[in-house]
Amino acid sequence: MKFNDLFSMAFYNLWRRKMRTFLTVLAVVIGALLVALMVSIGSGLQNFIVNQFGLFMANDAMIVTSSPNQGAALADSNGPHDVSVKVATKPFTAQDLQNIKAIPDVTQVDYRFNVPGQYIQPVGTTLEISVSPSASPLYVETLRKLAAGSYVKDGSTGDCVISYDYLDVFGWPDTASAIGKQVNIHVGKQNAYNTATQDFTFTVVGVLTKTSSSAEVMISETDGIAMARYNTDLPSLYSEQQPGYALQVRVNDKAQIDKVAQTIKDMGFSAITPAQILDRINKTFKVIQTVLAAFGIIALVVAAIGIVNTLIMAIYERTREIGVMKAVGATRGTIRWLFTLEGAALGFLGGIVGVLLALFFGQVLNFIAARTFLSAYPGFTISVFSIWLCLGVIALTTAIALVAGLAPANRAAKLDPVESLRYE
Amino acid sequence: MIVISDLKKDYRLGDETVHALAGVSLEIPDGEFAAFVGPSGSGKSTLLHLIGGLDTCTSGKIVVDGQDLSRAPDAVLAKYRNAQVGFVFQTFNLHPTYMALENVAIPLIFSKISVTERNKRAAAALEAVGMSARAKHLPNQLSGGERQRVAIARALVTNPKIIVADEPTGNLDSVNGAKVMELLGALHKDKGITLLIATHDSEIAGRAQRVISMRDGKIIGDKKK
Repeated sequence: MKFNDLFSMAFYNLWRRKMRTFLTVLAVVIGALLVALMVSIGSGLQNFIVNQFGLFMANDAMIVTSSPNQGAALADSNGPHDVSVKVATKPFTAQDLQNIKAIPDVTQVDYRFNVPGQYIQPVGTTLEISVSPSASPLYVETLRKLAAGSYVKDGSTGDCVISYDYLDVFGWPDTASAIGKQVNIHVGKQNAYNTATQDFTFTVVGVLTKTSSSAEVMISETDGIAMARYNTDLPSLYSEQQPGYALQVRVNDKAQIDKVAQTIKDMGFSAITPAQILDRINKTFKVIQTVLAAFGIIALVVAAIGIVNTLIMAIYERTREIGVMKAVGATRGTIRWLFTLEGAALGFLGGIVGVLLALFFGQVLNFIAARTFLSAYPGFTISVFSIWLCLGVIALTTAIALVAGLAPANRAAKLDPVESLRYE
Repeated sequence: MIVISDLKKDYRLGDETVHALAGVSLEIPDGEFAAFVGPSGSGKSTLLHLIGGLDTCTSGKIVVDGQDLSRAPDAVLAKYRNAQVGFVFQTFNLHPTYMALENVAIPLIFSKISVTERNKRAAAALEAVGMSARAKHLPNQLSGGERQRVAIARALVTNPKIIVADEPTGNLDSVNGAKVMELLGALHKDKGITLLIATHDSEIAGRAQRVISMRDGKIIGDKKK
């Protein structure tokens, strides 16, 4: 029997029992829809996180921590931005810093630290607004896009760049009016028994475009260090003598980053590159996607039971027909193929319809998201489909249905032709 | 030429073993019209199924044109049924949702013939049984006699050497039964097909060149005209 005849016969047999086929396929559709939609949402979140990550981490710089085991801790946190460096037991020494600076291809070494800040207040007002200050070198700062003004220059003092969302909160009508305004960042003491506070005053020199952070203020490292020293009561922290627990090391060529990272590890420190962090993020999302997809897979398993049931019903219904087919020359193999194909076709149809529905619902989600919680991030979508996801889901449903069809198909193939012709 | 020697077929029916064929030996030359008569359970249907390659024997030998069917695997038997044998059943066994022409074309699907060629040959077979006008009808739009003629066309379409008919007139009235028998007789005469019929009807048996009587799985009479 030719394959195209087998194929058209399988589809014809499904077409003959439209309602039953529809119901069986419906179960597959639900499974396929769940798998496809869940994975697409996982991809959307992943894209979002990875893109946001790119705003905080230059691809030619790595994070170096003083303890050999801290790399893992760093990578498992929510990214380099809010890493607590206090967990390290042994800070870098002045000699360590010299040694790292002396590594060939290293062009810049910066201290990594949390900048304290209780709230931000425009000068001359009584507003107290939450704030997340950061002090990065210019090459990291420039990963972010400005809506207006300029970046805070390395080594400058008293300048800041603020998040776009502050304009609304502070009651400033537009970006142009924000430039030149003054804000205070209120800093307390790390020691909870010391209630002393100090306001650090900054002049707004730039406004960020809308990004993931809505309460951010970027200042120079010089100012950040001053605030951190005030907060910790350690007047020479983050100096050549006391470099702290974490450094950001930049190389002159990003192709050299792995080599430099290895050199640093050989010195007994830990080094983690942006590629490694991205790798961890991506691996984490693989797990999340698998868990999300598992719900759909369960639905598909249930659908597979439906397929088995449908095919067994079809065998009872078509016993005589199978007998006739054998009498006029069908081999057992042909009958087996026919029923296997019918099963696979149920999965294939369900996969296609499920993926189409998932694409539709994904678009609906994107439409809603773009007008609500993702309105600040044009270009980002919550549901992301690749051609491989679509083909993969169709292949998955087809494969599951094919496997489900094997046992019934075998049963049909083994029917005794004489018995089947007598079957009433 | 069909050569059968000491053919036995046992069935298990619950705890009991039924000897459907209890040692049958027989030779049927090419182009013969033979009728198998006997009461229900005499083994005539089982014998025809074995000759048609639809069933396998318990012991003994069945050789058709030098080909031993008794030990042949499924694929060989399937090919034999497809190319060399045409079956006609008491209950017609037409595919209910296929029209007459499609029903006739079914065996050609399994001989890997293209659709156009299939339809051409099926139309010719329908013509040979005088059913061309009914080619586009579904089985339930046809009378019993017409259905059996379509079934005969299906048996003919691969140009088999043997036609095996198990009670072909059993579900037909005498007028239609006679028409079907005339058709089968003509095919036997014109095409030289070996025609093997199992029947209860002595009138049908009377048309045959040879009447083989069976009882309890054995041949008890073999009369040639």
